[in-house]
This record gives sequence, structure tokens and C-alpha cells, in this order.
Amino acid sequence: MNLGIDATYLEEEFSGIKSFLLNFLLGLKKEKIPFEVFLFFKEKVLKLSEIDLLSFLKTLPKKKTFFIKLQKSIFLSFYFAKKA
Amino acid sequence: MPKRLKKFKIDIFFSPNNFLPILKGAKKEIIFLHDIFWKINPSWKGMFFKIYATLFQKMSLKRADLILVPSRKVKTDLLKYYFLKGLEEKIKLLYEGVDEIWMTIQDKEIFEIKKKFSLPDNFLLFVGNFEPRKHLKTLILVFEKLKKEFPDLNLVIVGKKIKISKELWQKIKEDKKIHYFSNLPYFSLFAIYRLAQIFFLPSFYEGFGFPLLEAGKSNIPIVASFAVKEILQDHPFLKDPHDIEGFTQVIREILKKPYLRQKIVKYQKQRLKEFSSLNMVKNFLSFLDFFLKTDKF
Repeated sequence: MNLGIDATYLEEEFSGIKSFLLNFLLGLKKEKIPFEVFLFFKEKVLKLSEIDLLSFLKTLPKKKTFFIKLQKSIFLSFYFAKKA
Repeated sequence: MPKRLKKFKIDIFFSPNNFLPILKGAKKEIIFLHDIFWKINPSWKGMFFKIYATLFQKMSLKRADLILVPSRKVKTDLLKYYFLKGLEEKIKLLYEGVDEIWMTIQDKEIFEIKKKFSLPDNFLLFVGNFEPRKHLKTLILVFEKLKKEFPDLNLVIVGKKIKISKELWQKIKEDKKIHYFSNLPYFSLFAIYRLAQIFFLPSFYEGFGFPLLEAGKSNIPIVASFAVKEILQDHPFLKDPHDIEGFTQVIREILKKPYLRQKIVKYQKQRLKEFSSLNMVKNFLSFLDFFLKTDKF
């Protein structure tokens, strides 16, 4: 059996979800689990068993959250539509 | 996401934040639903989020095979606002937990972080997003009262600015005793917890209140609203979120009486012991096991 986890929140700025997920993965890494865990990032997929979570986090770029990006893109569309 | 899930032959997909992808990519799907506070008070969240959540929350709840919630309160809220067949049976309580690794931070590292972020010696701490449900107005009003009595007291705020009134934001920016940080490395946050005098969370609503765990595990006294009663239970410093006098009084007491601080830290340590990352994962795995064995998944 394979478990897939949406890990994109680890790539984003400080949030409660990021804190929850990080602690969850740290716990998961300590437990002996009889299946493989795949972490789905925006551009890559990694096996939890093959990464050192804390070192890996330092390599991730800080990105804007989804909703901030969404709001920004909608605002810019309206702005340029009005200007045109 | 669905294409990638199929490519890696994922049997079970876990979304740690309320929603599932629009298309299904795994045989079974699990969501962790932190809260639905935007349903409880729509004015607490922005328009874009509400449109998104209205479109996708119901779909996610319908499709999920298992819905994990961080408190009984969130389960009650879900059943109050969504009338879906079989919903109650799919909801399971999974208390959140903090990993012990964060408690291993050394004094030397704490000192370096204090220097790096120019943190004051004596401060109250708030960690959370700037949004109406967090009730930052009370936080600021209580701090304004206290700083008259304790001139060296500061307020450190760590969080993302999501929805806050111009007036309140102006106050935060102009007050030299208020220090604001928006995006800290998670490790640094635990140094800040360790340096704080008191952690203060006057929220109107919390699904769980993750920073409480972080603060409690860092051995600093917590002063909070009744919104976190399920987690902190008989903690003596829980107040109504509007009770500015009450909050001021208990913070004053803790600042003046070191024995009170020790007493409350001891209570918190005992109460929050079960909220570890290992317990969280063990419970998660037991749910998976049960569902896989009984084929109820």
C-alpha cells in the first residue's frame, strides 16, 4: 500500500497547517510503518523514508500562499482589464 | 495532483488542509479538517476564500472516505452546518501533537536567535494569523494597559497578515514596544517561545489552537480564551475573549508572582503530555488499520 500526502504546505510561509503537517511527518518518520509514504510537492514527489525532513526544509524556497497568489492574480486581471 | 497520484500508484491520499483536489486520483481519500470558522462567522474570512470554500468544502466532505478533526468542537460544527448522508460515521477525532525534537533547542541557539531578531528581554507572545477570529483588538488593549504598569514589557507577534483593520494595524506598526514577525523558520519560533514571559491567545474561535501546544511544551504560562477549553480543560487562566480586565489581571499576577508561573507550567505539562507527534501518528495509523481491516474504508 502507498500513502500519498499533499506536502505543498511545507513550501509555503508560516501557517498552522504547515506546523501541523511538519509535526505529523516527524511523528510518521519515527514510527515503523508497513507502507511507503510519498510526499507530493509542487514540482516533485519524494519518499518520506529517503529524506531528512529538517535539512530538507532548509532547502525549500519560501513561496506565497495559494490564496495570496489567487487574490493577487485576480486583482491584477481587474486592474489591467480596466486600464485597457 | 490526480495524474501524479496515479503515476505513483497511491492507494490512500491524505490532504492536511480541509480540501481534496477536484479530481480523484487515489482509491481512498482522507482530509484533516482544521475548522470551518468561515461558516460560523462569515465576516471572519475574506471573499475569495469564502467563494473557494463554498465551492469545494461540501464536495470534499462528500467524497472523503475519512474526515479527521482536531477537536470535538469541530465535529459538532461540521454536523451543524453540513447535512450529508453518512457524514457522522466518517468523522474521527485526531488530536494534534508537537514533536519532541523542538524541545532540544540549546541555550546558545536561543541566544543567537534573540540577537538575530533583536528580541527584547521581557515580552508577551502571540502566535497566529492576523484575522478577526484571533481577536487582536483584545491583545493590543490588554498590552496597552499592562505596559503602563510594566514599562519594560514588550509584545512580540508572530503571524501572517490576512485580515486586520487599518486602525489596529497602524497601532501595531507605530508602537515601538510591539515587535512583529511574519515568516520565521519554524525552529526559531521555539526559541521565541522559550524567551517569552507569557503566551497570550485571546481568540473568539479555535478549532484546536496549535500554538498552545507549542507554548505549553516550551514551558511558558498560557493565558487564553475559553475557545481552547477542550484542550486546556481546567486551566485557571481561561477568560471570555472580551474580558480585557480579566486578562490584564491574570497576566499581571503571573508577572508579579513567579510561583504562580511554576504552578501553571506544571499543570500545562501534565495536561499536554498526551499531545505528542507520536500519539498523533499512532492514532492516525490505528484509523487506517481499522478501516483497511474492516473494509469500511
